[in-house]
Amino acid sequence: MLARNDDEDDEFDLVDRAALELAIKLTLEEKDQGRVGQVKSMLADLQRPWSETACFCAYHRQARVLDLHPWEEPPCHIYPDDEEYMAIRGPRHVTAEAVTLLKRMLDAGISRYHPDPLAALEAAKRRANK
Amino acid sequence: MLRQRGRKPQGYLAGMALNGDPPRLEPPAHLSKPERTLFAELIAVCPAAQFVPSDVPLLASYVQATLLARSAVKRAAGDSRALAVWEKASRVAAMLATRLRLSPHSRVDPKVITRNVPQRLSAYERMRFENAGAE
Repeated sequence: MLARNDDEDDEFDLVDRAALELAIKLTLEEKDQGRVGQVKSMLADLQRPWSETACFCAYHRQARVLDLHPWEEPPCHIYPDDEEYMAIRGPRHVTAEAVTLLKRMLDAGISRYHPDPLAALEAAKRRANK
Repeated sequence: MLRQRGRKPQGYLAGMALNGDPPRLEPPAHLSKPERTLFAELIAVCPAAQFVPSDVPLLASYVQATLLARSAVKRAAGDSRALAVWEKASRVAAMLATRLRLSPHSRVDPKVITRNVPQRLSAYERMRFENAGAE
């Protein structure tokens, strides 16, 4: 089961929710059985909100497809408009490129949690050119 | 370690870097402004100890060949003479790059080349490189 109806999941709109479900699905399809087992156990844990597991999968998938270095934050994890966040994390971990990518995604109507941001942007560009 | 015994000539220490590196070579006066710029860029990105003053003529020829190739390639698609100029200039530049130890071939020991795994670029780094020359 990829989705649960927890109250705390209400913070996500339909686009985010679809992206998070896709992130979980793609993580569960990975060859790395260690990772698959980890996510399955997270989903089975009734004490753990579904959103936490979903965001974990989005972070993992984005870091993986973008080939990010350990100190680089994926788009799902940056909040450039949050001054407090930027003061703490920004200077070292949130690059101008990360912010640019997030803004491109949001401008194209793509969720910040999409598991493959570049592919989603390409698809959005193709749709726009049709 | 002393490289040269005895009293140093006047001005020897003036251009010396604080870390003991020898002074960087300066472009010769006969080069044009673009050639001087490329010469200076090249000197700036190589270790200070890589070149000695006797390398200046070869370095000057290298920057001239590089700039000639750069200008010829712009016309090479529609002009066969420009294509020939580009080919010859590129060949000379490649030969001089090897002599000056500027090419990967002359820098890397073939015995260890397979051990050097290429460093992967993240998507952010690729974006940075792609935009680097665009501003």
